[in-house]
Amino acid sequence: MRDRTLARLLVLPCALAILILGIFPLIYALHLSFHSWQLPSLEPQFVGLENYANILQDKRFYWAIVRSCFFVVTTVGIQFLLGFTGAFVLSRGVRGLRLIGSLLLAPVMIAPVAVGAIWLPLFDINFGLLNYCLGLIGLGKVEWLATPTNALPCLMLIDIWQWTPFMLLILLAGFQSIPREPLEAARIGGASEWRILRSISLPMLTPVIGIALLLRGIDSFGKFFDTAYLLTRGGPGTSSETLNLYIYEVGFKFFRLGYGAALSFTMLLLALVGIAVFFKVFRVE
Amino acid sequence: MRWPTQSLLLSSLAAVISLSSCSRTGQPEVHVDGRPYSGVTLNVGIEAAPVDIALRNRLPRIREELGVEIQIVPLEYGTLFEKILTDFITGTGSFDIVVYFARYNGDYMGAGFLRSLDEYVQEYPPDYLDILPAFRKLYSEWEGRIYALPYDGDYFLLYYRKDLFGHPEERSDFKQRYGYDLGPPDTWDEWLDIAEFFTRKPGETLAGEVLTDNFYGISEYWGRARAYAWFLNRFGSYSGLFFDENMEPRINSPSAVAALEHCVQSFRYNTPGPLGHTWWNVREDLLFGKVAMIFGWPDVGKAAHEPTQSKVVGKVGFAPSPGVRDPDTGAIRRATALVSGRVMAVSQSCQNPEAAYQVIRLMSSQDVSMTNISEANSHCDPFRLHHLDHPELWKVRFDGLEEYLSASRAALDVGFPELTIPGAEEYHDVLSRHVQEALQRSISPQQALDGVATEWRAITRRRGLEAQRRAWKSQLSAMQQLNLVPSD
Repeated sequence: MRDRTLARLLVLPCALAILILGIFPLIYALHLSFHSWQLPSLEPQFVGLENYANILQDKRFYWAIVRSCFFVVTTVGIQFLLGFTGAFVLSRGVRGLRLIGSLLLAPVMIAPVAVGAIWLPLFDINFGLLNYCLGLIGLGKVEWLATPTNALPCLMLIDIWQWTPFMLLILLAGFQSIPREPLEAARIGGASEWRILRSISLPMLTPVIGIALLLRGIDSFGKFFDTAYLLTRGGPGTSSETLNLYIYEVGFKFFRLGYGAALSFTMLLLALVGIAVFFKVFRVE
Repeated sequence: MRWPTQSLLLSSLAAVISLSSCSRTGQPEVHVDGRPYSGVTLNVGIEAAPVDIALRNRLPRIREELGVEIQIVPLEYGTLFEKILTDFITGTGSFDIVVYFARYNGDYMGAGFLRSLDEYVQEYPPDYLDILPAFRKLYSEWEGRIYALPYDGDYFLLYYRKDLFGHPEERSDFKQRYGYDLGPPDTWDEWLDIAEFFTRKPGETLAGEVLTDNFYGISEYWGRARAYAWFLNRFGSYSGLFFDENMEPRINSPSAVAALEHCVQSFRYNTPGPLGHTWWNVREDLLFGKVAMIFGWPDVGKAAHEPTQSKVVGKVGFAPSPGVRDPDTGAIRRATALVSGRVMAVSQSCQNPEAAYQVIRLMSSQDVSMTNISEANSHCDPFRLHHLDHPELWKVRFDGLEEYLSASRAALDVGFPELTIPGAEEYHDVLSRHVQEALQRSISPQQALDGVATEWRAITRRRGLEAQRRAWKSQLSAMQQLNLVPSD
């Protein structure tokens, strides 16, 4: 009994910290989402579900969801394909694996704002390296960030560049953790490499793949902000505006705190639904 | 305001005591070291370089004359509005002085976050009447009280390539094609003709030389941050007005649609990527010899004659903005958007408001501001009559300075101010977003502006119709008093 009390006491500071730093802001934001609060007015007004009703009629919100989902599915899908292929190749024994691993980690370690600062001059229409290279092979200049059709794909390209190595390293760790015995037994039994990959490696990698996709999916849906903000700010028009850019603009640029909170909660709800579906499909425990 | 050391606290206390015994002669009492505010340190929130260059260049003089130490808190241009407002709302008190775009006046002055300077202005006059009327009435005052003094008086000028416009072959070709003489455009229709005329592909001839690269008629800033400003240049001359007296949007009126249709027509003659352009791209396009003409802020004129920045030194002419010809009278109605002018103001949290006022008074004084606006690298632009009347005092000297100042005066006579009411940043952003959509031709100009009107109504409703109407009426009345819009 005394041990249990001691254990509770020891857990208490941590639980309080989580409550204060994590749960309280969440509850407060939920409370705020039922109010209309346009700063600098200091008087929030209770409006019940009006903010949520407005969200249902907000076309900009729907388009932001479509763009966010397209962004996540495409970038994480491509990162997975490239990462899986790279991990498969590297897992078969490559010299200098440690060096390669370190180099691959470099983009992952760069702060998102710095990533934006690196890519902005590359995309420059007149002086950018990309257009210079296109010019060398006789192609015309591309308006990388300045057209509605190109802006979002450019942001996706950056996300793929930055996070494919992360996917690769997780999957490489997964490949390396597969026990050798079943693979060798399959080879002795005459199975092809494709058959081994499909019937042995892939099933054993499923939990790792699930975790990698989940982490990248959450990250991509909710946290791809800084680079996009620096490069396009959601433009031209709203052509590259994802949900988090929209919420930032509503809540922190124009200080519609109640509506911003309602948007955030809707985004959280969508993310939870997405995660639940993901668990169902991948049967990740 | 945080004081880092006890000694600083004591010295500031001494300064406060000395201030409280200021004489009423128009000059502050002088401190024992000969400087009236020795020991006072002030934090200035200002957009980072190049905007803060003028302030940085004047720090020794502020220290020398006032004894004030300035700590510059550089802010990023894209987040300037929310950073300062967040500081005000939370009462953090990071800034004693703020330098910001005048369009934030409604949110800063109107909400009571800034100190009225009336008392200090009366005691230590800042040559206030020498400040050009639009910058005085619309940018420095709120509801009849003075809250700020100008730092940078932004307006637009038309820059064109004199060498191309004066080339005999080009003039002859132009006359043959359009039936009138080639010159700086007087009307927006002429602007389109000239933009079309000079847009050429490699292999074609320009002023007797075969082009190896594309050459364009114009370059405009259609990026999200300022697309509205380039629209306002047309909107004003097409007799557009933001709202009627009851705060009902007039942004989708026939004249506004005509203005946006002109923007859409003009769009095709731009250098590549105008939807991603910033002011820097527009400026570069002119200075690197890629376009025949641009609209730009006054700093372009100074840079155009600096060999270190320009490939077209001596080839750039200046003119006020084109306008719209009245079909009945033949008179041309012009308007030049007054967008992005910056002011300096003292925050409510400032513990040394008088010292802060003296700093902004010094910075905007005839003498110091003349240096600020006429240095090659300062990015501050004229806002006083003194600046326009005394070319001999300009630090940067170039052929055509008189012409530049005369075009500036003409532009300022027909200035068309951006909104300064509460929420102006959001109203402008909505406008920019829809203007971009019209330029992409994803929707028609009428649809785009109808969308603006709908969103503007929602902003007004959210912020309180009555308060917004009062603020707009005040701005409208000032604009009418200054003859910037018709009084009917």
